[in-house]
Amino acid sequence: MAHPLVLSNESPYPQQDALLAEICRALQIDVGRQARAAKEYDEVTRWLNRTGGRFASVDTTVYPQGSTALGTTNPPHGGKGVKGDAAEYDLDAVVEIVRWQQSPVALLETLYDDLAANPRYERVIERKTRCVRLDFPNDFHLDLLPARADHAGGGTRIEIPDRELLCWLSSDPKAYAAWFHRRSDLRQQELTKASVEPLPDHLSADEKPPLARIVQLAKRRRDLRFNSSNSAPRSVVLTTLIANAYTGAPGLLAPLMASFDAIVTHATAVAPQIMHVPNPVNPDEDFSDRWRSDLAGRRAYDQFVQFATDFLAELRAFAATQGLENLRDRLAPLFGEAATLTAIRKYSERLAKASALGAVRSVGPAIVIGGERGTRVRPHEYFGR
Amino acid sequence: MPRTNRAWTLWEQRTWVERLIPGAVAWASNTYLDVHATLQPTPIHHAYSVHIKFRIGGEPRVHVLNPSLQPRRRGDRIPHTYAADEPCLYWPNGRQWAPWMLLATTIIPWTNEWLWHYESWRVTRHWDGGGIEHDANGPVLTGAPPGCYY
Repeated sequence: MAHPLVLSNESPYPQQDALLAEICRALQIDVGRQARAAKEYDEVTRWLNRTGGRFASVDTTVYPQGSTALGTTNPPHGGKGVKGDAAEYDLDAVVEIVRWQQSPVALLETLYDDLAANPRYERVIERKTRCVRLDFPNDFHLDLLPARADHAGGGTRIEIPDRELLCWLSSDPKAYAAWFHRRSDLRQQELTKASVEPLPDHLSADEKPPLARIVQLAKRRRDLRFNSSNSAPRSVVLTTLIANAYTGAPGLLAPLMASFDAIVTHATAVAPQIMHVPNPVNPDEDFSDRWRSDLAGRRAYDQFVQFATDFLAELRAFAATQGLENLRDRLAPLFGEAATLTAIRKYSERLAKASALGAVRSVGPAIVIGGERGTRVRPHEYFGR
Repeated sequence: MPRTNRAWTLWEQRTWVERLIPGAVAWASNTYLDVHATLQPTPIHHAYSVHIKFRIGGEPRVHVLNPSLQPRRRGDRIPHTYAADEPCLYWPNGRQWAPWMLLATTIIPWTNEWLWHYESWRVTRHWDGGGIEHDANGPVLTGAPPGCYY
């Protein structure tokens, strides 16, 4: 069922929202790729649970985490990855082992060895620092993060290897996703299932809740601004700050501006201190700890505040811009040339479809698609070749 | 929407233009109607000053005055135009537009749709508004204004 659309007349910027929604759609993982990812996901689950496998004697659960679970996945930066392009999407999943008494390194190696025994993965498997990657060229790569259940922490808590694979760190991606969905007004759905949990159903950009879409847009702007720099704010920091500031205001542009307005206001209020970004489901964890770790962290924080300030100004300028060429010039640096052109084209195609269906209405010196205001515009055909 | 089964008089056309299009200024005689209006398809499009001329027995002609229409490159033609400043809004076959239709609810919103597609074409190079194709070298229909470009 479609999420109640916010592209309504309640928004102060319905046209800008329509363009931003088309940009989200252009960035969205396409249906075919999503289906292939879901198939691989099922295959991993089936393989790990097979009789005779290394994990056959322990309960193993695989579930999406991060942007994959939140519906905020973007194509990687580089100007590629929008529809029709070949760039790989980065999909993340947790492989949770109910009981694991050995070291984090042993868990990672066992997971690697077990997956490598599958001939299908022979050529696509790669061991990363903390996870095992299945790399399907020109399509997507699936990062599988090994974890064990945190029986002491209870609930949905897990323990994951730290960066050096020396010890376990507490984490709770399920609870975080549940919190995000609550902020989005989405009902908790897949999050209470006990065993294998499928990738979230493919949601079109229009069906996704506005919060997921504005996070998607902010992450895309971050990617273009920081261009893979290590000082880029982490996705979880951006997501948490935006979701915390989200008020449910209708539309996309208005809540996006409101979120960044709140972030900038907060940063100004705590200056020269560094703002805290506690994990909403584990207040003892501070997502912003890296900003306090050293001088480079402080510089990264200052760059983040400047990014937020600039993005707010960019969005305000976009809100005040007239003319599709001017809008193209505003949007392309923010979200990419290809996504912007696709969005403007789709925006125009919507009018053509509505016009053919007699769904365009004339309201004073303007026109609108749908609704009850004004008078219905007769279908017509432009003349000429 | 007001309806009639006869041709609207130019006085009636003028009244409806001024009633439905805020800011429009129209002048009418028994045989000629002249309308100046500012049209803006949506708040993210430019606002265009347009001049609509309609003579009894002819077809309504729309000229976009300001900002002026611009081809993508010098020497290029803008799709669906009669002249550099004049959009082709409909197939002049006597059915898509007829004098029993109000300019205010046909020609003017069609101009808005055309302007929307025009701005999009300027950005994307694609004309997504559809239309009827014909030979660029000349009119194909009796009564069609001459020289409608592709």
